[in-house]
Amino acid sequence: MFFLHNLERRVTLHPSYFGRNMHDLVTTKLVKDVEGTCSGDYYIIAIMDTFDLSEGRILPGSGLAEFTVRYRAVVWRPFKGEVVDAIVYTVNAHGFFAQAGPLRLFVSSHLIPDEIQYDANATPPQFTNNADMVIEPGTHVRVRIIGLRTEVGEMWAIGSINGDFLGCLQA
Amino acid sequence: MSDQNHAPTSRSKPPPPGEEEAGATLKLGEFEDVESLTLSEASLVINALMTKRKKDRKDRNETEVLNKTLDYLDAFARFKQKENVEAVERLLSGRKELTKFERAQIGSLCCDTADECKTLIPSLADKISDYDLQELLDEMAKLMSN
Repeated sequence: MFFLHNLERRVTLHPSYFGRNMHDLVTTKLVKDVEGTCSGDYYIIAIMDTFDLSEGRILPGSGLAEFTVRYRAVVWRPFKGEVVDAIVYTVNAHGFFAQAGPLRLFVSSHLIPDEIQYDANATPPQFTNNADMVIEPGTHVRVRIIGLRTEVGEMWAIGSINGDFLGCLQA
Repeated sequence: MSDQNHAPTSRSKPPPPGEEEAGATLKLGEFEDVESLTLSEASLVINALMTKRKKDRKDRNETEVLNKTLDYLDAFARFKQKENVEAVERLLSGRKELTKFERAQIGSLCCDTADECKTLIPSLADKISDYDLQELLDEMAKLMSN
């Protein structure tokens, strides 16, 4: 789920940058440091604007100026139990991997309905119910997130298509 | 000596993770009242931001996360025209009985029937009647890429 979240961060600026464009430089440094990172719970996609740049405070001993910046950013926060659309990119006998924006999802074969079986002989290998549903790299699927795992800088999710209205998306 | 105000000697415990979920009841943690965006709205916002940065000739800072997100939104955003996105936003914000999260989910998943919508978003079950929800979905379907 995408959110417009207000966040706060401390940015330091080297004394060689003290001058006319300090606010712009702080904003640029913020953007470079924060955009595209995963804070553990959510991904920060893009920073919209900063709205509260504090006065710079010189850190004793290093001479760097520290600014506390409040800013608004578009963040992507997946929740357990949420239904998301994703694109399949790898299929193997244990299940398939799908990508929903920056998040990688794995749907295990245990969480795939019984009528959809793995077909290793097809090119490319796919999950199919031999009727209208085929899951192969590039397929759009609707997945419910069952579990999330976070590690520094990245998130992984386990998903399920075992439920009504989940699975392949027609069109 | 004992009544001096010392700084706390241990930092406070971070809020326990793993309790947030979007099941039959919504427990969103720090995102409880944060403005949520449907896929189409997010696509509009991010693309507008990129165009503005390009116009100001600033570095667009195309991180891998950003590119993956843009590709994802291009594939799944249902409402491509700005007017349609705004119309959907007006339709959804009229529904005060739903939380921001639920409204954004409805706008992103674009279900055909009220039953499908309530199955995919379990927290909706008691908040809105099937009839009202179906009416909302039909209005949205009319605005979809026409």
